[in-house]
Order: sequence, then C-alpha cells, then structure tokens
Amino acid sequence: MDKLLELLNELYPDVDFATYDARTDGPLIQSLEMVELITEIEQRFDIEFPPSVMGDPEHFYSAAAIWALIERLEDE
Amino acid sequence: MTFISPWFLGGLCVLFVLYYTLPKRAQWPLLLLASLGFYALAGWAALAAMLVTVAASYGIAMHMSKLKIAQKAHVAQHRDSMTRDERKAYNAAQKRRQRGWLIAGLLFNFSLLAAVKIGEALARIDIIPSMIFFVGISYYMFRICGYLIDVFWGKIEVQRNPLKLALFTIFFPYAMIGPISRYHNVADALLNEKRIDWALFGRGLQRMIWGFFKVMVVGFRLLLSINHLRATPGEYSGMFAFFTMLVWGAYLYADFSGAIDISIGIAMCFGIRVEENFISPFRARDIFDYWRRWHITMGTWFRDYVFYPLSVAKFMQKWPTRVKIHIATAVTWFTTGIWHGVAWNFIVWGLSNGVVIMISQELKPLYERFNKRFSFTKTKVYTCFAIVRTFLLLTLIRAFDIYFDVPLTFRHFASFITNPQFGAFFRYFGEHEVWFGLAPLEWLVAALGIAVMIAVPWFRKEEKRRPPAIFWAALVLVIFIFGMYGLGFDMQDFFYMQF
Repeated sequence: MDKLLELLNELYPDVDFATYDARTDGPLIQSLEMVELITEIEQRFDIEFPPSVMGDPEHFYSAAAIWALIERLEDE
Repeated sequence: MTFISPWFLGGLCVLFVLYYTLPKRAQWPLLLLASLGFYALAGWAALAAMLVTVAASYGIAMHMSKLKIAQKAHVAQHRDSMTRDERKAYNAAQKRRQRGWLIAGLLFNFSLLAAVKIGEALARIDIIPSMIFFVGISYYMFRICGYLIDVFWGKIEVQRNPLKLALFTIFFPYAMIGPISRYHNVADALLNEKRIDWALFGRGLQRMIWGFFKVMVVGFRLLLSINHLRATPGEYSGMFAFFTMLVWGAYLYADFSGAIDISIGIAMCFGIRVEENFISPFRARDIFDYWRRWHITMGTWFRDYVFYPLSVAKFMQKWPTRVKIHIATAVTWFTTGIWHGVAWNFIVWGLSNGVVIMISQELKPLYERFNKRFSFTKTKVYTCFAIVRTFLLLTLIRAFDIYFDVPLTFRHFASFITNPQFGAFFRYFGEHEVWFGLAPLEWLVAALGIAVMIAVPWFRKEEKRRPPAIFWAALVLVIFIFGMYGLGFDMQDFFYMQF
C-alpha cells in the first residue's frame, strides 16, 4: 500500500490520498490520466491490468480501492 | 416512423395500458413484440439483418461463456497441483481461445456495419443505386458488440435466452437513436416484472414533453433555416457562415438531445431507467469536459472498448506513455468519425476532435501552472471565458457536418478573416422580410425556445427543483401552438437517426 501511495503522490502531488475519495471529493482521474496511472502500476507491481476494469469507477474511488484491485490482480 | 408520428403515440398509449394490465410475466415479451413491430416498420431487410446479428452474437457469447466455465472448473480442480506460473499459462491459453471467438463475432458484426456504411457512401455519390435504409444499425451494433466484449471480459453473466438478448438490442425507445445502453446498466430493468410507479411514470411523461418541445418547437424550426442556408452554401460565407454554424449547433442539440429525452421518457414510463446522454454540454469548460457532457454513451463506449484496450495493449508497451495516449486518442477519434459515416467530413470531424484533445493534453501542465500563478482564473468571469472559448471551438469542429464538404468548410473558416462581411450581414436583416428561410416571428419563437432550453437544465441532480404542473401544461400548449407538426409541416426524421 505504501508503494502505491508513493506512486499516487508522485502523479498527484497536491492530493492527500490517505483521505481522498472520489465519491465525496469529486473525480480526479480522467481517461487520459488513467492510462498514465495504469502504465505506472503495471511497471512497479509487475502485473497486467485488464482493460475491462479501467472503465469501472468503483475500482478507482480511493487509494484503498486501487490497492484492493492490485491485490486481486496479483492473485490471478 | 418517428416518435412524432400520431400512429406511434397512439400505439404507445395502447402499449402502456397492456404493459400494466397484462400478467407481469408478459411484460418483457410485450416490449420485445412492440420493438420487433417498430423495427419491422423500418423495413423487413433491416429487421432480418438485425435478427442475424443478434443470433450470431448470441451463439458466440454462449460459446465464450461455456469456455469460461470450463476454464474456471479446471483451475478450481487443479488449484493445489498447479504452480502460479502454470495457472497463468493455462489461463492465458484459454483467454486466447475465447479472444478468437470474440474477434470472429466483432468481425462479423462490424463487416455488416461496414457494408451498410460503404453502401451508403457509394449511394451518396451515385455509384450504386440508393440502398435500403438500415435505420439505427450503428446503435444496435454498438450495444451488441459491447455486450460481446463484456461477456469476454467476464464483466457480465451471459444471457441464456436469445429473445431477452434481442430485447436488450432493439428495445424500441432507444433502438433508433440511442442512448447506446450497456447490458449491465439496463438488462435487469428491462426484464424485471414491474408494478406501475406513478411518480416515475409522471416524470417519464414530463421528460417526453420536454423532448417534444425541443424537437418540434426549436429543432424543426431551425432545420428549415439550416436547409435554406446549406442549399446555397457558396453565398453564405464570412459572418453568414459563422451564423450558420451557430444555428447548426443549436439545431443539433435541440434535435438530438430532444429525441433522447423522448427515448428516456418513454423508457421511464415502462419503469426502465436508461443512461443519460447529455448533461448541459454547452456549459463545458474544455473539450474533455464537453465530451463528458455530449453524446455521453457514445463517448464512454469508445473510451471503454477502443481507447482503454488500445492504450494498454501489449504491442504498445514499448512506447512512452504519452505516445501511447496520443496513438490511442488518434485511433479512437478516427473510429468515432468513421462510425458516423464513410465520408471525409466525418473523418475530418473525428480527427479534429482528436488533434484538439492531443494538443490540450500536451498543454495541460502549462495550463495548470498558469491557473496556479494567476488567481483570476478562479473567478466566474474566467469560467465564462472558458465556456465561451470551448463553445466556439466546438462550433467550428461541428461545422464539418453541415455541408458534407470539407474544402468548402475550410474556405468558410478562411472567410472569417479574408471576407468577414460584417456590414452585409447586419444589413441583411433590414433588407429582407424573411431571414434565412424563416420569418422574424419564427426566429423569435426559436430564440425563446432556446432560452427556455438553457434556463431549465434540471434533469441532472435537481430532482427537488422540478417545475410545477402548470409549467408542463403550458409547455404542451406551446407545443400544440408553435410545434412544427401543429403548423402542418412535414414530419422530419431526426438527424441522428441516420447513424
């Protein structure tokens, strides 16, 4: 999780991902930024991101949601 | 037959009564029968093509699902004896098999779509005789192909009843004009048994009235002027061309979003919520924002099924992220252009959007620094400036679809500078009694209609701020008095029905 928070803070230095939640704070990651984020996660965590999850906002509401997805994909 | 036809509206009333009085298990079959009937009126060949598409897609989805079930069972059975790498290799091999079937299904469907689109293009330049009008083919193709991809991705359970799949594909309110619904968003609502929800039924009727107002009072009126302006496009350059582009934007919004309002309203009356397709698009602050507000279901379809898969595809991995984004953006917008028709104007329109998006993306860091440095960028005045700037930019991009003539559109753009004709434009109104095919009084009605359209954008979150019953009664009266149908004009097809 720390590794993910580090990555998110690099990409979005102005956002506090310990508390950020898109449902209350408003959407942050739009489609073009999504590609950037996914590419970085794939490289740093050595996993493959299926494009099917990229359109589902519930996977990207918060750092915790992204982390849950990474754990699931690592297990597959 | 369009939504404006009295036969359609009469049939709809009968259908509402049957839907809520027949046994509830007959509800979805009734909607399917009505949808097939509605589609058959567009032509038997069109109906046959649609049924072939549904049958092929059904077969392929069922087969992919069988492979998936076998794959899961195999992994579960050998969980302990397989290493992680072995499991990964097995899953990858199975995925390839399923992908083969998916590609076959998509190729089959898109070949049919391509044949129709190319046929239309050849008929336009008189190489072949005018062909059968496959009304709404793009819309159902995109719905069914989205369904196939979702089954492949494992996002949804396969639909085992082909008739239920057919209903999802051509549910008549959205069959011909959209929204491009996704299976997981609407399937339950389409197939569930429902009691009448009077509140929802009432909101559905209001939504339909709102749509009829936009289409009949504003859209059809502006269409008369548009037809006049593009009949002799060479005459109207400079300010005249700019005026045409503004009228075109207002017409397209009234016509398309109005038809979508009617679609959504009819579905609500059947107790079915379908996706929104417009959220105040002319309030967008930049082009990204605009495409999150205009024809939303088309934008999200291309984003989820073209842009995302392409941008993370294996063969793209060797490129830097920015290059990947630009390639995926260009391909997505080229495809979006072609989706509208095999014609240069649509391709240039699509690529123009792509180019502006790519440039905006490159300038983003600059904008962010600018916005941080200057506090006036947080004022309402600056927001208004951003809205007007975006509106003008999209007005120019949209202009490619007015004349179906790319060089002419570029000549008109150049004429804004080389021959703006300010004086001639303003003199025109004094020298003529009919302005661009419409009497001044008709322009006044259209302008007031546009003002109402802008002033009443409540269909977002403002459920509590809905206008009172008197507003709806007044709007019905306005439609009867000022609706083009009421004045005896020919019924027009919706512009967006041709796709």
